Amino acid sequence: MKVAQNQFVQWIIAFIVLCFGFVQANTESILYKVPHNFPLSKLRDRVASTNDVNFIPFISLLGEAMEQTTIKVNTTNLQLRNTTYIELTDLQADETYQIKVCWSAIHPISISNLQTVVIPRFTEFRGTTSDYARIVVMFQTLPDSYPSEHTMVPIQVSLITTRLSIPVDIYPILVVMVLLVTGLLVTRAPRVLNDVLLKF
Amino acid sequence: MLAGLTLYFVLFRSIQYLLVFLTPVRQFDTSTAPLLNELCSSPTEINSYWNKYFWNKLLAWDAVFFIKNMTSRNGKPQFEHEYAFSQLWSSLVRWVTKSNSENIYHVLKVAVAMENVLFYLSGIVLYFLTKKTFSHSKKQSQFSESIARKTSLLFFLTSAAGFLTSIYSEPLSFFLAFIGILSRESSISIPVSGQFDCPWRYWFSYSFISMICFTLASLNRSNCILLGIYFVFDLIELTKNRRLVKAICFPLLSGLLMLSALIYQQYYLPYRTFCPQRGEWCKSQLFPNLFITTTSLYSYIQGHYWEVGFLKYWTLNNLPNFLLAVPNIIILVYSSMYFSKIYPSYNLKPLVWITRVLVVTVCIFAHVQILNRIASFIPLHLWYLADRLVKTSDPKQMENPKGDDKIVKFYIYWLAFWIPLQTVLFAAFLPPA
Repeated sequence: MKVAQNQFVQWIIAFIVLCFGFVQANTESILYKVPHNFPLSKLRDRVASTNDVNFIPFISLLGEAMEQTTIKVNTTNLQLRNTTYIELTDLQADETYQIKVCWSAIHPISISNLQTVVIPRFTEFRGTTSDYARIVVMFQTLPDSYPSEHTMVPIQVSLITTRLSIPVDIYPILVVMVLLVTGLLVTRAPRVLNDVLLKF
Repeated sequence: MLAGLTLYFVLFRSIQYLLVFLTPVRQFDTSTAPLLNELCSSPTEINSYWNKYFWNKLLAWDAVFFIKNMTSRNGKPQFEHEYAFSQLWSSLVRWVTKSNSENIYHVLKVAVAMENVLFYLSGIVLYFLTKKTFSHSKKQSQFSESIARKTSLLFFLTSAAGFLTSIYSEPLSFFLAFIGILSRESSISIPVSGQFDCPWRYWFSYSFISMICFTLASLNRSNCILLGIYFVFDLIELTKNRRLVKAICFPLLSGLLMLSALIYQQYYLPYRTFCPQRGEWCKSQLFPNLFITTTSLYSYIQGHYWEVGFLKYWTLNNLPNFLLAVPNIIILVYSSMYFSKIYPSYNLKPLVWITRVLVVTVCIFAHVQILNRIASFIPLHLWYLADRLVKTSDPKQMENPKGDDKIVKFYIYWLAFWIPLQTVLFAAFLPPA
């Protein structure tokens, strides 16, 4: 019986994780694995070597498992797709991260071409240079409504460490769900519900 | 009866809201924070204890569109696609909160309260509808009483329960649909000879109350347009029985009025608002200088913004969504077979057809998992479940169920897992939507 219960819990978790891959609506996400030999900079080196790097907004994971920033994207220009760049700093080599872009449905925009690009060291990028190679996430924003909205849309970009291929921000929700399913099984909730319906 | 149903309703809802409270504050989709920053000017209010741990979590998925409309200055949709979300429901909440309709948390609390009241009242109306439908003789009164209790309890355990913790428009349609069906049931007579009739003394309850309820339910949730099948069925039956005047004054008049309201909402108003400058769907005019287009605004919105269309959802990555819908597909299909082949019932015929059309339409055209959310405006599957539960009075019989009882047991067990999980998934802003 216990083996069957464990299998059921595992099945539920597997299904939920599978569902995460098909999130639609106002979230776009990608996974990015930092190459094991990537020459990552340390914070003090970066500050000492370049003064202009902060012209590009950045998310630093220094001492954190996840971090997020809110940027405002202008959707006024209908002809040209707006491209947003955010530098990802203080990552670990050989680690996989989830990059998640969320925006409120009250602003009908579409996000496309969410990807990471590596900027080699000493290479000028949007008016900035660095002594170290940089990892930049980029995505394009386009109004997707009638009439088009011309405004500054707040967009939340999150950088999240993954463990066992699952972003760490999912774990608290997974724990609640596993506890919930376990609770339902232990209390024999389905059977109780069935009996209530039979006797009511 | 009423006390028992009320008690269970409060118990189920309390458990669900406790689960919302226990769901982690950080949602998967983090867009609620920027939404609140825009709609609520006070960060202190956003981060107050109850807002942070409870109310903010209810603003997920479609609730975002509803709260935007409910709190907007002019009460009108800003964008074309926002017309897909019930203006009727938003207007009703705005009307109730008119003195304070720009305070997002006040509106949210009033809307959640109204959602629960409508959900509860729908269950009570369903109780009387079930009694009316299944009590053909005094002998059957105990049976109908029993089946009515179980039906209402099952309704409170609808597979949409997770969404109904928030401010969705479905309970308003449930309430109106059940009142409309009850009114129509009370207005028709099926004598022993089987000659379907609509007595003149029931003209008002049929052609006014039923018609108004079905129309408002459809204006609120477009899937309720299927309730019009009742009028088509009655029209055919009265015509077959050569009651032509009644056929015109009852179902034909009601159906035409319902259709007119829907044409006004779906074609005339959008055309007047958007055309011809919009292009796109405006160009599909059936006749020059006439507002009727081959594609309605609602169909266009669904296809253009949400990829709804013929077999568009039939892709491999949507397999989990099909799996989520399987229990309801099975139970809806079996219920239509049960009441047409095994225990055929003349007065359930229109409902059987409504169920069949809904299942086929959703499976072929729509995001199939929404069946879990929208199917409860039809009580046929609840009657099927309740009927089997009444007939399986011995709990020992349910230990090793066979045939239909096996399906019923499987469905109830699924609900026991699905409702709490769906509630947590919704509060965590996770799919399925």
